[in-house]
Amino acid sequence: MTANMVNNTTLGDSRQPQKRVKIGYLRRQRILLTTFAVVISVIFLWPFFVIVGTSLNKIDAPMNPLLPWPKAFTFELYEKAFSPDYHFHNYIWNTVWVVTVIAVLSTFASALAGYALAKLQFPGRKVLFGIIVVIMLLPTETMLVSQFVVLRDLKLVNSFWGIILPAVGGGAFGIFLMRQFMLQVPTEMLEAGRMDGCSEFGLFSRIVTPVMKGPILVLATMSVRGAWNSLLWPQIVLSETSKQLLMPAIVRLRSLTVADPYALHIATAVGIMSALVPLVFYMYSQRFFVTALAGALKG
Amino acid sequence: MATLAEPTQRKHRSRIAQFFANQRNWMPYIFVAPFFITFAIFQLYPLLRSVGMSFQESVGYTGKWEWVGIANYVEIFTDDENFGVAVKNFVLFAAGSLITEIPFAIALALMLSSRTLKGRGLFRTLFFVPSVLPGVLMGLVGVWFFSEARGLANALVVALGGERIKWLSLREYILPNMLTIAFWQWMGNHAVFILAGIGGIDTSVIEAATIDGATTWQRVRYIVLPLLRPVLAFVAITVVTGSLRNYDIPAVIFTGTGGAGMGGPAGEGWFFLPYITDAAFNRFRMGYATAIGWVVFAIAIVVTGFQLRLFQFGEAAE
Repeated sequence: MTANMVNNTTLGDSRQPQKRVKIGYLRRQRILLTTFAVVISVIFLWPFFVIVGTSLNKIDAPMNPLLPWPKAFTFELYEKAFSPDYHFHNYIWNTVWVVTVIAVLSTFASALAGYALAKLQFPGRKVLFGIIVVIMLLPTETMLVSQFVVLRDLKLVNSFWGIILPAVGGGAFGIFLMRQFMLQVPTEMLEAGRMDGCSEFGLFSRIVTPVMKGPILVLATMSVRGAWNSLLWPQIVLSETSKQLLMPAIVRLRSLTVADPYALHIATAVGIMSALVPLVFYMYSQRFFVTALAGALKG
Repeated sequence: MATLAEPTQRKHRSRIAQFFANQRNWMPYIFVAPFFITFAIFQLYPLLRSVGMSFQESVGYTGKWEWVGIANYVEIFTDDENFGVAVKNFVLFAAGSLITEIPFAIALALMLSSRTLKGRGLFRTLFFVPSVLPGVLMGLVGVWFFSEARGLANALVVALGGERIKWLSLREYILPNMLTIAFWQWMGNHAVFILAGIGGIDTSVIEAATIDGATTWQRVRYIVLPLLRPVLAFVAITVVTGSLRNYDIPAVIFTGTGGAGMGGPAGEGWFFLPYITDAAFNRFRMGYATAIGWVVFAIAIVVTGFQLRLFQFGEAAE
């Protein structure tokens, strides 16, 4: 079911209306274009293949950097990453639970807020939505120093809550995206629910959520990706080595390249492993992505 | 709703009680509360506090502060070469990204929208994937790609008969490296956004033009691109704000190549966020870092506002 709304528009096949006579021509064009696409996507992804090969190669047997296959195959780097010298299992565990809490709560909060801003009538709704849009455009990262100072006053530095709490309310972009989607929920459905005595929260959890599974999944994916991949904020908030999250830990190991011959190699292997999490989420929710993006752009 | 309430009781209720009697009145505020509460505590309050902080300087890491007036701002504009480097790098990186990424993204989106292409969904996924990966991994891909002894880039150079190049330790390659990695990471992402925009175009317009004898190029140039203006505006703004927020790639590439820290070779690789972070947490000049934050904040607003104007966003979005 990859045939999304996008695919119905055509730009390249102008001669199509003339039908049958041109079928051979069309087939040739299709083969040419598809081959071309295969070639450029392989070139595009080649460096990734090479780096995966590198991570499976013995470090003292340099492989040909033009080709992705290892010269001396080994899982050594992956094994070493979980050894007592590097203990990446700790960092991964820290990250898994922090990201899970953030993703669940922030997705829930964004969906709820987006729903309220799209479908509920209340004084101040337009103003609040305006504020969300403004926040979305503000580069709030530039304020990270004062954010850190406030966090320090709240005794949240070097605590996982310093990462979790600021994120659990959801983000402006997520709420904006959700609001755009929730506009599609038919109002009659909600009215019918109210008639049947459904509570306001019940409307959201029992009527809206099932219809909006796709968009909510997209939001959850974006939230996992954001929290899992983030480097700067966890780097600042969690400076104690044992409490580090995965990305800062990878970068710290990479910075030891000169002192430790394994550092860059292991950092790379862990980096590749770490990519699996956002990748799996994306693969699972990707069929909703294009529609999600198109929906967001209409605002 | 009111028909359900018992007439005798209703008279005695105060307005407040009435407001709370029906959850339809107050539930919406509960629904939006989590965001606004966390925003107020962790973003808005720091934002307000940072106004004062930018006119102060922290005394080491102690939590004590002293007022310095506008000295921080004066220093930024008159006595800080590194900030100048960061501004220059931002401008070049943003412009370079726009020039390299957007034309290819448009071309790719057009190709992916063509019904002649088989397996469009798969290709769309393949090109989108790098933008899902951690920036840290993209930085590592860059580190390997540009490695002097073991890199793909130098292997190509040597295969073409050239001399090995020290990509990572010479300042003239800072931006080319950065742009190459950014291209990998973001071009496909932009293409998917543009593709979504193409999907939103009314096909009958294009068909009408085809019947009138417009060539493929004419249809792209005079129909598709103008209709894509809002999407292109969105993509362009993403590119520029992304350049402003550039952190992960410099953090990975520059640390570990010896010496200069996040400033890169010869200190010519500063970007805004690494520089702010370095000032605040390595040199413990939190007041100064906050002042830089405000200058960058202002730059971001001016640039975004300018872009919205340029693309006449308000008009396009009705």
